[in-house]
Amino acid sequence: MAPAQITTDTPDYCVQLHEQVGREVRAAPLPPPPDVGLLSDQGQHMCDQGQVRGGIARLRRALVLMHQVEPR
Amino acid sequence: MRPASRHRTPRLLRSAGVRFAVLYAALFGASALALAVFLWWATAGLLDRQTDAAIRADVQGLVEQWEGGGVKALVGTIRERLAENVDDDAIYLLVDAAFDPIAGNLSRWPPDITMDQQWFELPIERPGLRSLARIHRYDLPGGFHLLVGRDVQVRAQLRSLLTDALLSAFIVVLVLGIAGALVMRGVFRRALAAVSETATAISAGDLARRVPLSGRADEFDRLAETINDMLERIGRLMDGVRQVSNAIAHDLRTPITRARTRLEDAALHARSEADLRAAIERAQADLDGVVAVFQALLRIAEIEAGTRRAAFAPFDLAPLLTDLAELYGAVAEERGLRLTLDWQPSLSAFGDREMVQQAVANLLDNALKFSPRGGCVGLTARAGGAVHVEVADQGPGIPEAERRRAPERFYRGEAARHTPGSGLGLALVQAVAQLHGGSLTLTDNSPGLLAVLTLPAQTGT
Repeated sequence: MAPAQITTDTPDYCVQLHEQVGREVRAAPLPPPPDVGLLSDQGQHMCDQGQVRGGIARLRRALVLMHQVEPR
Repeated sequence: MRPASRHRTPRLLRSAGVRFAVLYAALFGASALALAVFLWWATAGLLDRQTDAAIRADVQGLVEQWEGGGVKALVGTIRERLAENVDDDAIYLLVDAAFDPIAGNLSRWPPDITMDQQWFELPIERPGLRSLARIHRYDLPGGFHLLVGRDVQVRAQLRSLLTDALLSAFIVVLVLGIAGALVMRGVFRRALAAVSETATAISAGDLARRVPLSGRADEFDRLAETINDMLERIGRLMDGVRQVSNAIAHDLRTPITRARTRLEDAALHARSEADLRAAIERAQADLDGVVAVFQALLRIAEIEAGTRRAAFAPFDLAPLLTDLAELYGAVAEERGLRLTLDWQPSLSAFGDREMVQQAVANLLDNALKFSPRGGCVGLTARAGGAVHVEVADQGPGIPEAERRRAPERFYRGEAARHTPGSGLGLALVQAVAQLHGGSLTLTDNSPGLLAVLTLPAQTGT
């Protein structure tokens, strides 16, 4: 039997993360750090270019930055 | 006789050089192995331990979420952790009782994971590559099952690199170990070759051969010096044996020949029974002298063997000296000598009383024999840690150059050539002194000889 697959390496997950970043930026009471927008855009762009894991990594960094500014 | 174990030892290992080399190689290899184990433990092992610790902490956090908010809280936490997994190595899977996925990033439940609370290493598939994951299974109440793991492909690659490096290092260690072992074997053989050659030469009869020194003052030089000292001592002992043999032959030949001549002469020319009886008595006296020499030799040998040491006991030396003074006082008076005495009322000594008495008597006998008429012989004793018995005479003495040899068996100085005696008196005194752990010292009495017999204080052991 083939090995189990990692489902977070997909373009769908990339889109999902990008939307999550957007939602959290809109819901934030303060303006986000400038790097958040940059990382989010780069991540989306890389996912569009087929560099899914690299794009996901940037989107994850953007989320971590958001959470550092607004600890929940 | 050959040791029985020799038959069981492989032929190659019978060589000490080879054993030494094998030991060196084994120690070198063990050191290298210990270093490799430490390297592994401090690198790959450390990463493995860190991974396991991270997974355990992850599981702990997720279980707490489950206990606080149930499935919903757990699903939220898993999603959140996946969203923030910057290292892109986290693996989660929450399934229901039918093993259908509820949350996580693993496509399905791996069939190989069957037991709760166990660790598994499984292959996983990422886009375009095959990877390796270390996963821990945790079963939750209600039939839910949780997998938490990490992608350890990078660590597996590092481990593979480390394994390759250690294998290469092992080959280098093997080569260096063999080379070092051969060098050590050569050094060992060269160091022992000189000893072996010397022993071979000596066993072939070249008794003057000695082990050459390298001049490095190392352990092998010290061994060579010890062997050379031993050979010197053996040489001196052999010279002594040869000398004693010659002396016995020389000193006994005269009285035996004289006795034979007397008996032969009496057999041929005696005119009466009285003449025959007189010749026999003279021959008997000569042979008694021979017997006395042998008895003295046997006595010295017995003393040197140390068999009487078991009979040592404390005794007072003062009355012993008094008895001897009475005995030899009469002899001194007869020879026109004065005997002066000086010792404390009590002198504690430890040893064989009879032997000490014999030794002091020998010293007195010599002193009286060599002192000129009208002279003075002194017998003194003092205690101070050890007991010192001094006998001083005013005879010709012994030249300083000959004093070291004077206590040897059958040694007779120039001045004693024409004096009766066997040359065994001082040898017996020396043997008694050595048996008691003491010493015999001969010094100049100006004029005459001062003989000091020193006996150590009572040890009782």
